[in-house]
Amino acid sequence: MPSVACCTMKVWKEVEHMGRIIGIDLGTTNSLAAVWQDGESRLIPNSLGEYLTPSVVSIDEDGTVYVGKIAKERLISHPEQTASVFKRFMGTGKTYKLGGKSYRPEELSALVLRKLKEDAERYLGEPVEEAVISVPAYFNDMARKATKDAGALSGLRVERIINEPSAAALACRGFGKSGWQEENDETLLVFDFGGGTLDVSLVDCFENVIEIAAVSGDNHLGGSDFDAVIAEQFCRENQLEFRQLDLKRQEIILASAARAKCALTKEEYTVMSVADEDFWEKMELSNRKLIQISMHLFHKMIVPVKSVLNDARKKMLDISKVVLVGGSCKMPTVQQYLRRFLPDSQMTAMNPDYMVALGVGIYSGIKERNEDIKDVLLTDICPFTLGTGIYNEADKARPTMAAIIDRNSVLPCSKVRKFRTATDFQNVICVDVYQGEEYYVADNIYLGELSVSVPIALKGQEAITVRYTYDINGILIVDVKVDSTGEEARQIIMTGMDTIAPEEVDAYVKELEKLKTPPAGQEETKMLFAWGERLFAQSTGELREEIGRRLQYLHYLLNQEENSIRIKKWEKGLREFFENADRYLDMAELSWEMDQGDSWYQERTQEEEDSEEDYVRWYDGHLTS
Amino acid sequence: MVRWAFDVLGIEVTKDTHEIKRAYAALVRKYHPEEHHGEWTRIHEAYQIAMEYAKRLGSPTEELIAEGREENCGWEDGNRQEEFEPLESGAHDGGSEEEKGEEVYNHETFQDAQVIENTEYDAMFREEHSHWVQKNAEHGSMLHKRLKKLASLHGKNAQVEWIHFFEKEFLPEETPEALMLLLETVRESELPDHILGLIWTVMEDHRKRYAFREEQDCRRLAEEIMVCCQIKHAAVKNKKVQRKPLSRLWLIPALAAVFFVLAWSGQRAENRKKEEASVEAAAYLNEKYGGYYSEEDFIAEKETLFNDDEDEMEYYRFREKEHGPVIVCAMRNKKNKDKAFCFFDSVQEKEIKQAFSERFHERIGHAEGYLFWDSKTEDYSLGGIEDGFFQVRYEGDFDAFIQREIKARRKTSKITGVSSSDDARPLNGICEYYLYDPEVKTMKEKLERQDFPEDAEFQAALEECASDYQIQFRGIMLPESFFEEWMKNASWDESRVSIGNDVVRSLGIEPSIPFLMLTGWYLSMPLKEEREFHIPNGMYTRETVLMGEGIYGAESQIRSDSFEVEPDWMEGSIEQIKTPEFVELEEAERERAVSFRLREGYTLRTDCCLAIDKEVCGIADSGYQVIITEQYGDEAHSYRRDVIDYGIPYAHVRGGSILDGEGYIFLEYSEADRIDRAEVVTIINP
Repeated sequence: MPSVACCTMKVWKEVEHMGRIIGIDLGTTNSLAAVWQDGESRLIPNSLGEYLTPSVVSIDEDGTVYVGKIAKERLISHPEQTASVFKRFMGTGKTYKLGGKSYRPEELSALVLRKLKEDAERYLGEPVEEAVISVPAYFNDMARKATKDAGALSGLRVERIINEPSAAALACRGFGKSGWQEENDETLLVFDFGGGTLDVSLVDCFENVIEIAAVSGDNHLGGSDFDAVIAEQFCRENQLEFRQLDLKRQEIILASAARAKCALTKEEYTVMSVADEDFWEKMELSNRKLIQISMHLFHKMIVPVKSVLNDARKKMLDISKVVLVGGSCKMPTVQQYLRRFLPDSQMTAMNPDYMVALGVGIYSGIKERNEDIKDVLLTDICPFTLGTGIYNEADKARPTMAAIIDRNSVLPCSKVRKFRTATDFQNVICVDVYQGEEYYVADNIYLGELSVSVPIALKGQEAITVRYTYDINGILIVDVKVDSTGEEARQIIMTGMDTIAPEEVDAYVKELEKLKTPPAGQEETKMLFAWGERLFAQSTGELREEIGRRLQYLHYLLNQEENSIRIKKWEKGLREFFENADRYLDMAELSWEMDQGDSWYQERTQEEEDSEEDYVRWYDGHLTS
Repeated sequence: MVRWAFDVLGIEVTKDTHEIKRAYAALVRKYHPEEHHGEWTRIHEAYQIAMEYAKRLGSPTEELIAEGREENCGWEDGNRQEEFEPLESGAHDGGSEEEKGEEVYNHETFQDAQVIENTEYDAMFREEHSHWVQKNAEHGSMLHKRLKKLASLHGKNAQVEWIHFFEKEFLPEETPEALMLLLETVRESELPDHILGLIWTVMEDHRKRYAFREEQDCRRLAEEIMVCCQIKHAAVKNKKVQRKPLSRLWLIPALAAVFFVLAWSGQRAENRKKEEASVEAAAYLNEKYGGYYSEEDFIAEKETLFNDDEDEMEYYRFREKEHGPVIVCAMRNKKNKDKAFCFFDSVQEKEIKQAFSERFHERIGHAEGYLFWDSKTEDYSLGGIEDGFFQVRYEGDFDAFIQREIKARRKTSKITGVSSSDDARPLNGICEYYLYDPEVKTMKEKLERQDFPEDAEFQAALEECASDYQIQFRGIMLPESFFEEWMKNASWDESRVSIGNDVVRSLGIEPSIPFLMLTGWYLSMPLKEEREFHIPNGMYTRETVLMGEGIYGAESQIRSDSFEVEPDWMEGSIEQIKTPEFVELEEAERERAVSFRLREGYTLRTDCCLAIDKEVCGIADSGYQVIITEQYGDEAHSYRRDVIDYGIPYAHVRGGSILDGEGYIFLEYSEADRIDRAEVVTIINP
């Protein structure tokens, strides 16, 4: 099992590419996988036939792990065993307690990645060993390392991490689908607004070159923040305290808020409704109201845009097109807010959910050195300043930051800077590596350090040359040379799992492998059960009973172990039924009557009529006992 | 560098960014970083340089880039020679063909995906924004009132209210504006101590959250509030301490009486000792020089020897008048049975040094020169010089010299990572030694050719001294190996060598001042150049610059804390001028006057200490007068200044004194950005 800790600068030269490389968009809410095939980037459907796999993981006591849509359902039915939105905490050391054990966000992401890997292998019919994963451009170094670690834990070799807006820019240029628009030189402003993060990038495109010119973002702003605001408002209007509700109820309200938010994409006005055993509350929501309650989010949203525009001005680049990417860009409020801010540019929101994944797919094609795409060059930039701490005359206890690689430097890059000793008789210089923009190093992120000894001298007499190299794989290498003695030292700055030995990494992987996944074929069924259970919990009265009945019938059918076609048909019908039920629960308008397009009643063969009798009999039987 | 860049790209030097991009794109096809990392790095660098050139104007960029390029070349790739063929007119492939086969997804067409402005939203946003602003303002003022009210509460009630406030009202509103209001409240009101603590705790909690959420403004504000709380808390604490005695009024006289008695008796004892010592000192001096001293002529000061951890030695210094030079020192070992003092006076010192150096230098052949003193002690009584190196001509009274230097020093910290508070223990007595040999021009050479005295000789010299003068001194003989070690680890540049404290510490030896004083062991070195000299009184600099003909200057350390001086910008900034009209002088005086002022077009960024060479500038050696004229635009105001002798203890340029000595006039010149705001220094010859 390859381990992250063994990565060196030469890896990219020596490793031979075997097997396919897939591109993965590991999103906060949803994850996707894509691959370069037949001259274009294609999304890989999962075992449910969908492109979007929710980034939710649920683990129950006997170690069965659920990933994706099932887990999303379990978020409401078994909230203590389920985790979502863990992308925000990658690299922070937060732990989740699921199914009796604790997991870090990297491990949960690894489970999602493993699922994607399996789905990809099934789709492609060949083993998949390597992947390129996208991260928000504004992800700091530790979060990036955590993403790589997650890859390693899932059994994928992740050599390269690319930035999401860069991937979106790649997709935007239309490589593969309709040919390179070589005549068009354009400068794009990519606005990637996902479930948990916002990235704004300035991308310079000409011919086969995609160059990221500037990057900004907010790691703590996303669609889920809008959900939270709506949920808070809902509670406020219904005299509830969100924080005082139990976990389950909180999740229900949040899910409902998310649905309401999505509904506003198509309609101007919707009703958010939450029903439970104890209460049934609702709230009216319109786009205007949404603006009213989330004004501060819009303000936060525009800050990185301004920053990037500023950088554009400095680099004398004119924005030719604005590209909106990411699920949250579907919101008309978001679109219109940006429109107001950038009235003159062309603005498009093509496939906001898929863009990043398609882009990563293109990139994996480039990395595979696929003939039809290999000439495309994507250069990224370092979103943070990398530097070291220097002696501060004014306040000796607080060293200040000296930048070596400036923010928005194009990667890969290598920069040098000289430093001198700060005090008399100093015999050691410690080059500590920090990432961040703040003036005092204490406010920046510490990445590592490297010490060299210098001959004793008066201050300022001895100098060292420090070189920071940030290579194409995002590994930072620090070289220090003492000018007078010629002594050199090198340190590869890696964080995260490098503190753990490779054998331990393997051990971790084995631990995760022990977690069982339900066999692929049964996934649809399990998902329906989870869905049904969740609906059961949420609904009341007649509807609830009906859901219970149908689930039980499904269970009965499965125990028969025959007639898999019948099972499939029943499942299909059940799916539609559940969708209706969901809509009903949200809007409280539609009746859940079965004549509302429930095909189970429409399409019946004689066989089914027979089976219907079975159903009735069984049902009655159950009741009487 | 620019030329190199365009060579790599294979095109003519141009400002056309389009062309540059084309060239780069074509090259990239050949040398993709996935396969050709090294070449691509070079191409990319060239591309960046070319683009920078194209976007900016002019040559300074070129030089900058050249510098950068030089550095970036570094030790990695060495040469810049192209390792690949230059660009051929690259025909690039056309786009890939239209996809045939089924569309896997329903891609929205480009047109559909366009985001078109919806004016309804525009109106909505505008309205909502103004509502929001209004709401915020209202909320802000409400918050303000609430905070004010809270600030006026006291006692337990206050605590309850504040907690409620934080939980219900403040927490959900974590905006910089709200935090600013809180900060103001903390600053301006007198909050009770426990409330300060409460606020501090809450803010600490918040700060972590802001840091995690990367909300730097909020984080900074939270930190400021915390600091403010701490300051206020300290103030409150002080007040408390002062308040206490009031409640115990009746104890005061009793306590005071007791303290007084104790102190007085202690003082008494000490005074008695001093008197004894004074008597003996007088006796000693009288005997030596013919008697006219009596014990009343002295002001005795009891001092502690640094290094005297066990308090073994009694050490007194005697001056004739307060702040006068030390006439004689007395030292004795308390454990010594006969309790006889050992005296040494300045004359004696000189003699000892003389004797010693003669013997010593006979072997080495060095001449007298400079003593470099680096003492990092905090024991000011014996030379609390803390900040590092200085070089000064040591003559005459060592103590006075020390005292003078104390005034002009300030603290620095030592080795990296160690704050000065860690070094409370005095570590006195490390000297820098300079080596003199007229044949050797650089320190390096000297070190290489250094002949060190042999142990035996050195020791013998010391012993002879000691026996001659019957001196008891504390100290350790310096073995040759020790000195060698010192010299080996000494760092040097062309002008001097310095020896590290840590070497000394590691060897477990700390020579003491009296020892060094008594042995007078010092060596000397040549001056680097005439230009570099140091003005001991009241100011220290590393370098002095020629500011004008016959005028030297250095950055005055009076205001600046910075130790680094890069005074090149001062060079040539002062000129000798014809005395301007606005300087009020009588006719006769004007003829004899010599004036100096900031040169046109120069800016003096900091106060400077000037040393005006009297000879060069045509000023008489004595009897002259100095007039300083300040001007501000149209106004000018002149005043005369007294000139003080340079040799007086504690004389320094600070505070506007003008010193005369060593053939120079030393004075301070204020910073000035233009000549109509610069001082005019006029010196009237007798």
